Amino acid sequence: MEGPQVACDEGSCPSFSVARAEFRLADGWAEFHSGAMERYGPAVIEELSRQLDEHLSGFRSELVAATNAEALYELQVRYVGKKGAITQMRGRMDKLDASARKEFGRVFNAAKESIEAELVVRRGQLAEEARAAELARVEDLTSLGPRERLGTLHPITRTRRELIRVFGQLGFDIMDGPHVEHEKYNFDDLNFPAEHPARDMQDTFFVRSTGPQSMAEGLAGSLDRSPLVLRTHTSPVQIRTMLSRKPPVRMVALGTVFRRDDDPTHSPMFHQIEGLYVDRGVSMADLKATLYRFVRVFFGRDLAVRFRPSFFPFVEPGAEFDVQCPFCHGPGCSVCKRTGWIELGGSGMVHPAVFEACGYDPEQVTGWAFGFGIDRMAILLHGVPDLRLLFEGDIRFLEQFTC
Amino acid sequence: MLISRVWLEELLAPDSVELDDEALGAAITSLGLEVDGVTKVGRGLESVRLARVESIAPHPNAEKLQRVELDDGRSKHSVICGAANVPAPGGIVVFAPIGTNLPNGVELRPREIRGVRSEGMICAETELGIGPDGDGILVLPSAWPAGDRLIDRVPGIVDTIYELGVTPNRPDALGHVGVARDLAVKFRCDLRLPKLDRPELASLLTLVNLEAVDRCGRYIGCAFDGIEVAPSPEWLRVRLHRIGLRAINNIVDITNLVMMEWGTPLHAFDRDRLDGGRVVIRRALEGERLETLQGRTLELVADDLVIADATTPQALAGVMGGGASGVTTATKRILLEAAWFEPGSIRRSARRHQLATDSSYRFERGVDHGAGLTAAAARAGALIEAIAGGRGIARCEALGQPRAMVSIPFRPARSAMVLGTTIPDDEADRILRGIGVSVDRADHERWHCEPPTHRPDLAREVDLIEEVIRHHGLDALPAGGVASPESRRDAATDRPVGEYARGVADTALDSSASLERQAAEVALDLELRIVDAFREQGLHEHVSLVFAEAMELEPFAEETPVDRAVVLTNPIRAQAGWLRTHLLPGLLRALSINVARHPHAVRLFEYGRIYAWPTSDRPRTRHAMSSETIDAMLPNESRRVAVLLSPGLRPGAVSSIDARTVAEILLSAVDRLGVRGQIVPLQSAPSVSWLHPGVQALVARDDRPLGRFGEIHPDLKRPYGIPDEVRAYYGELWFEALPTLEVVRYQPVPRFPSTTRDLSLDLAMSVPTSVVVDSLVRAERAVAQSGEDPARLWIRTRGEPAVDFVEDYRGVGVAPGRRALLFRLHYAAQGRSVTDAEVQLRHDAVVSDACSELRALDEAVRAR
Repeated sequence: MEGPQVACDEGSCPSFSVARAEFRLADGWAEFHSGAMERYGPAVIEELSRQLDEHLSGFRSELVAATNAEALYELQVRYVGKKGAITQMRGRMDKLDASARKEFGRVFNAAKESIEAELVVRRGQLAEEARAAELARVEDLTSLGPRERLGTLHPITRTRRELIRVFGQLGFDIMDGPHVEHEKYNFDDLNFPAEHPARDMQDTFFVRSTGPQSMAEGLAGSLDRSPLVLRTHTSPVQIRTMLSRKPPVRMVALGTVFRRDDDPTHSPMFHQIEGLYVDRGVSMADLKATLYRFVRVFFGRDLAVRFRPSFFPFVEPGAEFDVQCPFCHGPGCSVCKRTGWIELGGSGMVHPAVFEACGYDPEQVTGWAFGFGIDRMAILLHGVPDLRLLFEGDIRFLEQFTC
Repeated sequence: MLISRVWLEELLAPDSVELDDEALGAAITSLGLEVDGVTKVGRGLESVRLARVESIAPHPNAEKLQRVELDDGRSKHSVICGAANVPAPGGIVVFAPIGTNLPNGVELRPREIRGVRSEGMICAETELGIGPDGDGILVLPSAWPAGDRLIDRVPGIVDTIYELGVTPNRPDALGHVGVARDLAVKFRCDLRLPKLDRPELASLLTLVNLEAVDRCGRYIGCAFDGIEVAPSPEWLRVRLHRIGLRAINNIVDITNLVMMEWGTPLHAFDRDRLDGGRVVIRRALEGERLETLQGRTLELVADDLVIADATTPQALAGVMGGGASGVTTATKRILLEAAWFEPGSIRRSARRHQLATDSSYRFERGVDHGAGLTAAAARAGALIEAIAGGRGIARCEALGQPRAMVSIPFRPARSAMVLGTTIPDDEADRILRGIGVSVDRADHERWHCEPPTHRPDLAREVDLIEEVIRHHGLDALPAGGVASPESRRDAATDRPVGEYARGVADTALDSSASLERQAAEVALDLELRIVDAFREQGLHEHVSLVFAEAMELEPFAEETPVDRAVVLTNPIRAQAGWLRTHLLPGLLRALSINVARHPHAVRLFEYGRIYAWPTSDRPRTRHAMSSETIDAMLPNESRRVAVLLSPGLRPGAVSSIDARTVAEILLSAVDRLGVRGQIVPLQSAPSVSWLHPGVQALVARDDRPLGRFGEIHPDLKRPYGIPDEVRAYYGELWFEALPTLEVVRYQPVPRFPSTTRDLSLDLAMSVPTSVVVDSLVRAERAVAQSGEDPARLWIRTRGEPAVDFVEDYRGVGVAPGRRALLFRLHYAAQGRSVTDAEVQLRHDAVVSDACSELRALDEAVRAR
């Protein structure tokens, strides 16, 4: 604001105060001021009224020109503020006689009230115009720049978490074990005979148990068969759990496993989930019921579960389990290769030899176990054609899995 | 393993298979013999007929072609044929008339061949898809009548072939008899085995000398004279072809046929080529040699079992015969072998010599050493006499130590408990007898069962329970829940069994289990939070293979010496034979793939394990039994989470990614654990050589390092083909250093506004920002407080004092080589508004004290 320095309480219009203001008077008023003490009467009133009218018309022309709140405020201060032109005229009224004062007071008040009312109206007008202008604004909301991508979890992690959630609901503890595992846990205690094909160098990665020496020899060095392997399944976690706990046991283990395969449907490293439940009188019907319940929660649909007899050394009876195709619900589609069923994994009743290896009495307890591939389930759910895409780290692949 | 439907039907009571091909396949699968493929064969050959050659005339325009007049029993046909073996008039050939669809997809049409019309085709085996011979046309016995359909004369041409994936516990199903036996139980029909009633051969004890009794449980040797080695009759050739075997000659074909029927591999020696005309079953002498049928010379070791004659090995037992005594067209006398060899021994030999044969496949899994072996020998003998003109003259059977046979109890109540469903006793009895188990039900609660010799897998009660449910059908198991919980109460405790499954009980009752579970869950919770924290910051999770090359691990030798890396004995690719000791190589491989494919920014993180042997000594025993010993033998598996950022290489693009971005990501991630992390600058921490020497730092909590970050050293990127212009930043957190999750404790929040003071300090470049901030905080703490509720530096969440770094300014007003750091300090009191005056007073004191402290690092430090 030019001219007088005004401090004012925020938002206090129209009642405001002018503090320590120095006001420069109009020439005519100064003249009147210098001789006003003695002179009064109709001429003075006329003069005052004339000035009042002048101010009023000045105000009105300025009011029309004021197009924003700041200008209006400035106008208000200048005319009806504490040191405003109109307000100051009131001080001169003291010099008038009572009747003149009364008459002039009426005119003065009318003018002041009119100004204040006009300010209110104008302010309202301006607010209305501003609002209309604001609402007339149109933006192109389609003009988006490149967007910062959401972070993503790996499809395997996503599936793994979902499995943890579902089996958590079904009352399973979550367990895990080492990736480098002793044959005893990976094979022996799981009832794999000494000559079982899975123990072949063809299928299983063996780890040199001797670190420093073998490095010096290099890979061409001694090929002694070590008792350590990269675990070929999550089943050793069954053994570790039973060795460390008394029954009942109800756990799932999810983790990385390794086999010597490398093609579009097999990666040398992949992920599995393993479930184990041991208690008195646990039956194969429980197993089927649990898998059925799992499928219902995981896929969110009432899908049938079917067993096919199969063989795994550590279960007996052993069965592969299939789930009704969650995509077509039966009639057959490309995902289930027109069979209506998706092969999920292996399962069965814990073999008595496994219980014996863990110090459980197979006459006292029974149990079941199941396992299936997490990666396979992930690529099935997401329609990924080649398992190896999962492990490349191409962000254009990874950033797709936002949910 | 390929199985022929025609063959199966021959082995089952007539008309007992009423299912179509798909349903039969499903039935076989339901028995645990998984059908991997179904192929219909011989379709389209219905119109192919036997035809008599009437006359042969040379083709007028082609030297190598002939014009053959045929009579197919109905009409005459003139066919142009190029085969060299067209029989003389009167011979019987196979004629495919016009309109025939051959299996190779050709539909026959009338053709002009070099100007002469040909009305059909005289076929070879290959053209009909019924055999391996494509050199000449198929010539059939001239006694066969012209006009008959080929498919009626030769059984097995029209067939359906099932490809079975037979699990290793079922060696009996590696022959048609075994599969038929299972189906007979399923279809409730009789098994129809080939007739084997033949006169007993004279015994000749010297024929077989079994020395290695521990390796060979039973050996039957049969001698035949008068053999005429020739091609097999067509039905036999077709049968072998249909199940994927190549017909060779009648003797070899017969042994193969019997193997595919009984699952028992047989071998025929040319007896005239056996020194002494006999066999010795013994271990090989170290260094003995054997030239196989395929012409490979094996160097034998003492663990190999051989079938030798009086002097030299003639076969690697159960794996492959030797070339010297193999059957040839000149063979007149043979010695037929049927045997049971110890499976492990066969497996070792097959692996050792890298010979995987149909024979070793079966012996490894365990063939029948009882009735099935006798039957296979007899069946082969009968065929040799019927087809190859042989005459059995002598037989010798030697017994070693076969697999021990056990008797197994079967408790119907136990079966019902394990299965969760009750199978009627008579049904269980029918099934067990059907698969060959002898069942004695004298004790109706505990049956006495003796498994048959063809089922070496039946060793325990639960094996019998499996057989019962396998045949009864797994679909009989209720899936809706436990059938009748009330009936299933534990006798000792009188509590319902399986109650956990219904969420009634809880393992938490077992205190040790519950503590353990807590530990596992805490670890999982930490992992989930950290992983989420990285994802929340716009990073993509990567999972890389844990295999690495030695070259990739060398840069990290300061942290993990390469000799502590875990090495694989048998990696898939020789170079990738190490387990990673660091997460960076896997992320660099991913970066390299991304850079090669696109110019976009790369924001990856990975959570995973790294592997290294501990420095301490580990037990060396192979026979460790205790879990402590085993765990002490294993390498360390430490968990890490790492982030890799790269702006990529988009020309002209300005990227905000730098090493500070990594610092912010790591600090935010640590925030998620309820912990305030700090950056420990390069100057106060040992550096690593794999990060840029001037762009690296530690993340720490108090004085404990939690991780490391910085710009990746250019030398490290080069081997991955990542150009130097592609900058890349890396950071990692070490799980073992991360604190356990803390519950966030509430910090009082000032209710009155704070007052800020800006501070610009003129500093040497070498003074890190974090050191200045620490100095200011320390100084502020030391400055004497006055009054009850003094103005202090406001303390934010997790104890972080409110000193904001605002700007790093270099330029006008700051001497070259120096910089001006602008900070904003927030002062507040707990219960009142602070005044400018008191804040100024305090601030001036803080600045003055901090500057005196900083003067130790930089003499010229001053507030601007």
